[in-house]
Amino acid sequence: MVFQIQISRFNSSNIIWVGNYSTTVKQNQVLHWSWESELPLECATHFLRIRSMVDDASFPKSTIWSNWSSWEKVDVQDSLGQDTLFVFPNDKLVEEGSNVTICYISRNNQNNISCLLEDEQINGEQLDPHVFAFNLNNVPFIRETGTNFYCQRNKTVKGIVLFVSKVLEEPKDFSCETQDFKTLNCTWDPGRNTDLRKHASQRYTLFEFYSGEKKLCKHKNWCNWQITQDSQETYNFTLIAENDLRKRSVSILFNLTQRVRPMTPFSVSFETVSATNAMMTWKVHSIGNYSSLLCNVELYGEGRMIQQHNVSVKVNGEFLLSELEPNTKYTAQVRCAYDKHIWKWSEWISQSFITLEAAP
Amino acid sequence: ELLHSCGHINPPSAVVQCGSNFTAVCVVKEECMDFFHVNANYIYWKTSHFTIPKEQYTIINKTASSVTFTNIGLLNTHLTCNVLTFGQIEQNVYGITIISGFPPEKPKNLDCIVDEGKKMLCHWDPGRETHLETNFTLKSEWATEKFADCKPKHDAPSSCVLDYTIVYFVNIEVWVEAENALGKTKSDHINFDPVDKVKPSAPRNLSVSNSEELSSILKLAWSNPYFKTVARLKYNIQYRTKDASVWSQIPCEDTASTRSSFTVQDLKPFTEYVFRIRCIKADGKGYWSDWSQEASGITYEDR
Amino acid sequence: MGGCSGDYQALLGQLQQQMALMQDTSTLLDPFMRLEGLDKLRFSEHCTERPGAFPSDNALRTLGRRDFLRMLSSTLQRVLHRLAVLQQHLPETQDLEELGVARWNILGLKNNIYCMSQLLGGASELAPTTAAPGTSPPPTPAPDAFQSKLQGCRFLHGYHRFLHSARRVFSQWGSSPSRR
Repeated sequence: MVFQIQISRFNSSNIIWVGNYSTTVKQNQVLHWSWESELPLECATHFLRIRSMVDDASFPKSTIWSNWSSWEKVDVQDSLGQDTLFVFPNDKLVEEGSNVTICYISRNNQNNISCLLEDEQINGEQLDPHVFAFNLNNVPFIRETGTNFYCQRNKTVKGIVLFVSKVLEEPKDFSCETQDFKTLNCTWDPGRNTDLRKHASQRYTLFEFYSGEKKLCKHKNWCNWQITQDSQETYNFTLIAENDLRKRSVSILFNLTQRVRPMTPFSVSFETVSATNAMMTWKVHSIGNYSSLLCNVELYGEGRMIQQHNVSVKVNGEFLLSELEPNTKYTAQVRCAYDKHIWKWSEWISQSFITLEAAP
Repeated sequence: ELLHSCGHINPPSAVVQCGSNFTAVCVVKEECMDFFHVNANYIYWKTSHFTIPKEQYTIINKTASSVTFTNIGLLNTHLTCNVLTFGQIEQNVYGITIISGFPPEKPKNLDCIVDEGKKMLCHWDPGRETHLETNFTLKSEWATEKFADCKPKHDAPSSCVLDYTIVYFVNIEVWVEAENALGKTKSDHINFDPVDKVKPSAPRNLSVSNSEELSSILKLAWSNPYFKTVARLKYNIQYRTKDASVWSQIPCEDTASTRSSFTVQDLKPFTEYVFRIRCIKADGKGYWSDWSQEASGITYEDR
Repeated sequence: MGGCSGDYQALLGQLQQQMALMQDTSTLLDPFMRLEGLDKLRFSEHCTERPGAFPSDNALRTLGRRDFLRMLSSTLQRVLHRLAVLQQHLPETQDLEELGVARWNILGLKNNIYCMSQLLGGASELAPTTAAPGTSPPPTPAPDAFQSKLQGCRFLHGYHRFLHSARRVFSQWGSSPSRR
């Protein structure tokens, strides 16, 4: 069936909106439909009526509209209380750049009311002897405690706070990596902060497609994900960013073995240092059985890199630095990467040593 | 394994005051004695470094022997009770740790300073080294509020930064409590208004300008620290010619009230002078601020 | 607990200097207005004290010293509660540092008021439970953000005025602790 709906404002003859709504209907079913008014509903009495038509190919002859229902009146002004001046909407949340309509309702004469947006007087459009509307276009973010709009008549002042939030951005640089095949560390750049008073800040959720699992992250720019023993090797993550006004998401697909960034090596030491050689040893954090790391050793003397070597390491690394100068201070540094696929190198760790004096 | 549980020492551990006497008693189980065919006479005592002479031993009974130390010096060692079994094998029965030191002395010279814009720091003289782990606690309270204990950091054991907002014009009572294994003591209480313990920030933006009319004067101007809104200030203004090393100072009575400019007179014409300024609460309570950055200016030529 | 100063002149001087600092709107009202975006010339006329929120100038002047101290203490206790409510309405990411400092200063002022009462011989009944006589109960919670801002700035306006009035009363106290 097709339903046609008409909406009028202030009086039933002043039609401001017409629209159709098609849906399949079952016996005795209650249907729901909603409409968002650009003017706060408190600002005017609205009238609504509806008619219907069967929209079914099997009954071509019945394509005529039913009669209109009677006008349904929607009026909230009776419930507003005793004051003589009102401003609406209260505590509305909008995104930066939106258009907003504000109104005031004055229960007695109109002439000496002035309205200000922040500190600037603005003029409105009279909709009815008691109602003025103000169309604000492309509203900017000003502060977290909201944008102030108020109307004053002598000593009376009434106003609203318009909570203008920055537009939630799509997370950037979303990536995940593991140091130990036990935990995935996902990081991203959340972009602008869209926090406002009383309005929840943006929330981030990690969703993994293959496992179907989901995790609400505590932090705005990072999140950990536990790798279970039996979990898959390929991951399809979607990072969902949302606040009260908008939802954004970004996805990545990767193989776990291609996202390994080992922890920094440790316990660097030099044994059997002679006048021209030094045995450098270091330890690495294990990253799962049968895995080995490729370690990069650089030797610096007098501020210049003089040697560079690659060493394959499982648990303990060692390398004989040779062709050194006697009685000279050197600095060696080492970093490691996963040898099956170099995603990122670990941090460097460095250590200095001095070769012995040459034998006389 | 049999010998490890063969006896014990009383006391099980000991913190002893330097200069005092100390006795430990080792009691070996009868079944151990019988098993090794030994008795109390076979017990001998050792510290980490050497065997203690027999003269300091006392046989108490068949299974117990004591050792006595007089006028103990500085110690941080292990005291072990041992027996020489058949075949002259030395078997350790039991061991304790002995540390010696001093009870804490009454902390003295407690005082506090409020670096403007920062929290209040209190410091004290802890007295002699105790050679023991000694805990200091800075206590503070108003008449109506008791504040959280302040525990000094490891690297600064005799000072503490109070972690709460300092309120001027409210008398606060502060004292220090010191405690270690040998005793507990506390300093005298001091009661003061934090406003009298302030070290103001140094005056800023010191500028110097000369006067065409008078070649013997230079005018100074500066920005006062925020503390000026809380209390009246007085200043030291010092100057010297560019090449001199000794500073001259404006008489204190001329700079004894809050101000943000001053005209220095009786200067030599056409000469470069360097100036610096510092301030303190006008009644002299608290601490002098650091010196401002130096500023210089040249007096006008003589007509 | 820490001892009160038994020096009447010194304590009176501290009270007056505290209030001289705290009555200044730069210590709380002005930063609040800036944070809420109300620091606009045209809006200040609306940010006036709500009648009855604080004891009037006249009410303060006509009280005897001990009643005056009791009024001061219980009014300040109410201010502490109100500041806690204000703090809750601030966005999580924005902390009004002055609000915290004001709270400490009020606690310090109450401490000195307690000491002055002790000095005048009557501190026991300074328990901050009853609402101060001559003041209406706190307004009903604000229905929306704008009313909350308006109530906040009117309240703080009254707070600074109240301190100014109380300081003037203290400045008329004689040089000796004789009771009136």
